[in-house]
Amino acid sequence: MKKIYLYTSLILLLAAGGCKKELTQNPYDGVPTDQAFNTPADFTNAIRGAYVALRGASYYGGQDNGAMVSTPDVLSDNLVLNQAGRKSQLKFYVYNYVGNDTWELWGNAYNAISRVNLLLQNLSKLPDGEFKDNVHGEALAIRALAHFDLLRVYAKSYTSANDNDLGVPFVTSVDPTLLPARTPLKQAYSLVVTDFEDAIELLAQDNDVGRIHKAAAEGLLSRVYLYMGEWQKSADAATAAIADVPAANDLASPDEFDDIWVDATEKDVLFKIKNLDADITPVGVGYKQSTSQGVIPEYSVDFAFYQLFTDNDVRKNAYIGETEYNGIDYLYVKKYSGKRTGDADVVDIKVIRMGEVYLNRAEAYYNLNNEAGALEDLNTLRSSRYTGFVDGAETGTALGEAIQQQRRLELAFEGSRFFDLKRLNKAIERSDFGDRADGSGIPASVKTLPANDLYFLLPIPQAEINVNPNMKQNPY
Amino acid sequence: MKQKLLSILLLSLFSFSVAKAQSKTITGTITGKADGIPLPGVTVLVKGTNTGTQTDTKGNYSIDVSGNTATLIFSYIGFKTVEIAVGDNVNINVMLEDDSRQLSEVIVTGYQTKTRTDLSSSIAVVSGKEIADKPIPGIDNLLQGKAAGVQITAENGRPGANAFIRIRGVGSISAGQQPLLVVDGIQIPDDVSPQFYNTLNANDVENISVLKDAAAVSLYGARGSNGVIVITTKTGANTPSQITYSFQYGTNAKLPDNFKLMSTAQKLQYEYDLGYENYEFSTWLQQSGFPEGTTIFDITDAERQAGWNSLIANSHNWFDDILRTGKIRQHQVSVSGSDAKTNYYVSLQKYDADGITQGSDFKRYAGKINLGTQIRPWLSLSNNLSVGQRTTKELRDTYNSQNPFYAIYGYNSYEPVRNPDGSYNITSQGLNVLEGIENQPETKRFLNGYNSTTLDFHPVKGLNISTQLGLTYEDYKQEYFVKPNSILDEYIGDPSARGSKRDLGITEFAYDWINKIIYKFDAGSDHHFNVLAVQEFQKDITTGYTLEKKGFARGDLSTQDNGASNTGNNTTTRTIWTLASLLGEIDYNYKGKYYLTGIIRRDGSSRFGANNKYGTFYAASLSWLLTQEDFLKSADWLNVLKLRASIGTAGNFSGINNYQSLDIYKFGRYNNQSTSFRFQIPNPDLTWEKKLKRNIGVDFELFNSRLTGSFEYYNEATSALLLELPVSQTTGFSSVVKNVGAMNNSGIDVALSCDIIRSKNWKWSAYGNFNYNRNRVTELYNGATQIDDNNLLGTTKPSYAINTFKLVRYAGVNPETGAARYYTKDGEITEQYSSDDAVLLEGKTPAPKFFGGFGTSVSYKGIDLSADFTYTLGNYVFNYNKEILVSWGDQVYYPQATEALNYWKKPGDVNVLPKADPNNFTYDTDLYLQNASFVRLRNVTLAYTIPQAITKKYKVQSLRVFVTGQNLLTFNPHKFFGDPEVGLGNEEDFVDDIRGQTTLFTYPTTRQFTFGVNLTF
Repeated sequence: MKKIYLYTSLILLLAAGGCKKELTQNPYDGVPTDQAFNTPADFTNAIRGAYVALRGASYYGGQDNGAMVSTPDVLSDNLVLNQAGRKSQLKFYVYNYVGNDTWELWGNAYNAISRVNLLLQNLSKLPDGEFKDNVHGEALAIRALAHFDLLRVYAKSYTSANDNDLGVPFVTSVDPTLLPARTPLKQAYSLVVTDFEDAIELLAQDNDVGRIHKAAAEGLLSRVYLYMGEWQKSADAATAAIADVPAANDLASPDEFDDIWVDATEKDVLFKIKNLDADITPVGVGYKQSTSQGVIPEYSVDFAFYQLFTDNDVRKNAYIGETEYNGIDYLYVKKYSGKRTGDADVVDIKVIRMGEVYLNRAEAYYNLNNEAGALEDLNTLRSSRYTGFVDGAETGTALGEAIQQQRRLELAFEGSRFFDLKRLNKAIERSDFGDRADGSGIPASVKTLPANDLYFLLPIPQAEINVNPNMKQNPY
Repeated sequence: MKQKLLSILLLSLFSFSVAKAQSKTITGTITGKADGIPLPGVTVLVKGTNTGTQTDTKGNYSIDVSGNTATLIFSYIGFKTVEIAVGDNVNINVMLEDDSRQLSEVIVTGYQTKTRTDLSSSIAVVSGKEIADKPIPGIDNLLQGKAAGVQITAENGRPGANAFIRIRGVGSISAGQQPLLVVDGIQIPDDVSPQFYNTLNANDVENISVLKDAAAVSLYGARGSNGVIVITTKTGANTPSQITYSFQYGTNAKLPDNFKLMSTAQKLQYEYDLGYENYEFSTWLQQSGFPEGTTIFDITDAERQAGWNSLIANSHNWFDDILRTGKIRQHQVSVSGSDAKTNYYVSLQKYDADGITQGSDFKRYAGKINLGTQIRPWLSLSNNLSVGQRTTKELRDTYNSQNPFYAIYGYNSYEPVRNPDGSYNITSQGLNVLEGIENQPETKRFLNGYNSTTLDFHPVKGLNISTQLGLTYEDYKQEYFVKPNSILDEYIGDPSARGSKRDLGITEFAYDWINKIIYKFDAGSDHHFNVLAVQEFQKDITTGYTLEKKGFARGDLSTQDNGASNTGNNTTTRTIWTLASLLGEIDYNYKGKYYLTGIIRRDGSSRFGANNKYGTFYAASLSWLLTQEDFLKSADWLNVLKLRASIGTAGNFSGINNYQSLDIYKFGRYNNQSTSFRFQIPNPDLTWEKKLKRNIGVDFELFNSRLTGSFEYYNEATSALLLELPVSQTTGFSSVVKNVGAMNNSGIDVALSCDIIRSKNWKWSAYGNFNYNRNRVTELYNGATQIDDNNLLGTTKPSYAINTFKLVRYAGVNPETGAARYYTKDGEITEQYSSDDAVLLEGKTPAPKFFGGFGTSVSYKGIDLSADFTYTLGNYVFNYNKEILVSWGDQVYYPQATEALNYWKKPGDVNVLPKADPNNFTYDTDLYLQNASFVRLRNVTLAYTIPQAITKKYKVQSLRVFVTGQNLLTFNPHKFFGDPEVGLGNEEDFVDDIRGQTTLFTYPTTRQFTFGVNLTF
């Protein structure tokens, strides 16, 4: 009988001893953070991780709940709500947003910012050299872009702001207990500019597709300066981009233009966020869905705007499709319908293109009273968008209007229109046309948003206001 | 039978050799004293030996004894044990007297069993009989209303849906709230316990103990704080060999709504009044030759009416097209029996339940073998094996028309099911659910099982040393096929590779190794001790995979080998957790009057932070059996009176990710290349929630044990709450898990049962239970005052109950303009809705103030009728169904309830909805927060047991036929819009699954009628 006690005690002891080691378990799908930034490959992985963050579900990868490719167009005068659609983004269309039902780009953009800040914090582990500079430059450019997008969405226009107006927190820390206050708007813009300028010094001339290179950062900087009304600096940055652009990304010709939208060429695209079928991010769904019974647009192209596209404009066919659904004809946004092969509505997301760079400089030159330079850039753009284009010779106000019209046509449905009207302190004036292809049907219920209206600012998400006592909501 | 004879023969030989001569055989019949009915299965034992037998079905026994000095012991559950000296008798008939439940009932406490007398903790027991033969497959759902303080809320009405189980209120904010499940002594991993409730066969359950207070749950240390449900399955011990066959057949249908949708004519008028022209009307205009661009607003009244008449003529009821009456079929065979050394219980079940639409089915096969044998007088072995496979066809459960239970309210009656060419009409919703069910089939298969092997040494009297190895297994497979060229495929698929298929699987294997010593001894005649020591180790390994392909040639070829190309989303996963524990318990009682228990447990787990790997839990309890005192012995009417009290701690480690404490980088991909990113905010201090539980109670049995019951008061303080703390999103994260904050639940549990009539032919009994629970959050974390839930409907704030609703208050319409008005935070009236004006609505939470169940059963001879009710009172639900079906005009495109017609039309209108307009927003306000109290007649069963006199002729021991009805009546005192019984808003749309917070077109509650037969021979 004593043996039984002995065996039992032995079993108990053995079992207890073996357990201790078992109590430490490490994941099979991750590494400790201190092992995350050692080799150059680690940094390459981390920077790619930041690009993935830009593709967040309410950011450049958004569809129905706020999306960089569609929401600014829904908010503006380019689109009319289609009654056959799912009424997605209705709150934006009728300017009816509140803190707990707003554009959640906030968290997505700061996620990208935190990823690059972590990389920047570890940067000293890399040996000096081209590789380090390039990754460093990309991180700074992503940080600047994300802050700039936040400013465009949640803060006033730079040109209408005074020194006390609030921007968004400019975050450079990785402290998880951070409760930042809003950085003053003008200061935040200057920090964006600084990051872009530093990035341009560091970035390589060329980079993988889907990553920012030097010309892309210069193009983005020219956009930021344009928003700030810093015309000379905007023109200079655009000039630098035009000088530095790799041949593969230079302005597309009319023949090449269609291929941009099915990702068959890198022409014209300075920076795009790669988006593959496996990423399950059908960005085009924000605009329409396809069925065998026709395309169901979420939003129709406004008929007044549609008429601005002439038949020799290659953008007309690349951007806009016609469909019959339930016996009714509609105009829908086609430019995100999918690649040559692959899932419907999955395409790379274009963030900055050469077309815009020329338009940035044209606008800047125009405002600097360099009409000749402005006209030359405008003609350069138009000759690569219209077949059989003969150079225009506009001057004065007509030239200014032509530049704005080309900007609206060129950047249609790319998330620019709302921000352009906002930065120019203009009102949104929608047409009386309805949602059908001939302009009939039900028109917009809310026709105007007065210049500098409070609703040009999206509310900061309520969750942020609740958790962060230093965060001030926009006034409504 | 031969086996039995053989063993009796061996036994008698054995006794013959020991006691030499004078052996003789005693025979007799055992009957119940109250009714004189023979008792089968009574254990007859010769005192001081292993010699024993059982009475047969007629209550007869026969046993060999060594001589006249022998004493026989007759024992049977529910009756007082009797000892009779043999003397000169050869025939001993015994009438056994009913015993109080209190004294005889054996309670499974988890690691051991105790009689109720010995118990000083709070444990509710549900017997297997109470949950057998019901037309509901899940054991969790079957517990509803059966035990005081145990709140069971079905997630929804889906066949095989699980239930929210909350024991004594919600004890946690972000961590798990479900109790631990223990089956035949094995701790089941929390991830798989919901499936165990559904794959175990309820008819195999012997009994279920629900452990509630500290003295009961601290045995389970870090896993015990939400309470423990201990299921014990049937064995063949002490039963005569028998074969039972059960059969059940019935129907399953949706409960009728308590609101009406607008008729086609009403709806068309409503649309017109709101300035909306629907597509069927547009088509009619075109077909009727009106010029291009003509709208409903351009034509004459007569023309419009003609168009409407055409639509009305073609209208139909989508309920009829989408819903069906499902069938329920159940077959079960079980065989059990025992001889002196070995017992067995074997069962097989097939259970099929059709849902109330196509594409919603539940099929289960369950098998069980429980074996026990005595290898040596000091060594016994038992093995319990259970395997169940269930297959369900699944529907989408979301707020869009892929979900049939939204679709029935989402398609207008004038929209046809099919287009003129025979294809499915995709309707104003853009999808046709009937096509979806056909072309996007989804199935889930669960194979669950456990095997528990126990080797039990009992070398000397009172000492048991055992080792038990429990293996738990779950194999989950999900298949989802988007058939080529289906409507959804055209929306989301690859035009060059039509159709896509996803196979997903999770395999979870866990082992639980328990080494245990139990020693019972007495010090003198008055001091009784029971000592328990346990060493336990648990390890859980979970692996998973996902396979996806696209490009399928045909809709009937769905295996991955038919797919043309990869989607790039094939994955596998693997996680492990461990838990190592030591446990000790001492029970002491003095003269059977005063009972004292002390428990200590130490747990260590891989889930928690490097700084906090181990935790120690304890409990102490005492009870006083007053009826053993001399001063109460004379009170005949008082059978049992016991006071008890307990205090102690338990922990909660469920609902927390395995690697939550670690600072880790994870990997993904960008442009088919590797990426890395920081996964979470780490917390090396992470540890379990601690709960301090206090309980006092009184148990009583009065009037010959006709009235029995217990009252209990409890107070449970949770501290170091595992909280998903929201952080500023500027950090790049939205939350971090920390141990902060505290919460308190206190309340009362009452359970009563009463035998009103106990005569030979008539029996009438009733039971009821009641719980009142008060929840208060006592502390959050530094600085922050409240945490909003992710659904942005409720909040958690100190000095309020958890998940108290926080909403903007609706202030009615402006009678002049018809505009909606709201109260600001400060109580001013405004027409500007701002989410910042949301205020806490004190006292309005998803948790009920009172809940429980009651019921009654009456029997006359072979006929018995029983009824079970459940009730939930004082809880509030945010009613999205109402917000959508009674909108302010923004849902004009889809069907609306007639209530939506009551909107502002002219100045002076009051008590109406705001002026209806398609551009309105029906905001979340307290207008849609409703009191969801209800009392529901859950089950009615009428049964008839054919008299044995008849069945005996056919060698049938017993034959029972029965009919049941489920969910027959509902009392909805606050006129909740729709069904007031709310579990899950729906499965797909909510981040936080807060029990009963919202309702949003999930699978509705159903009504079942079944007919069944139980046959034993």
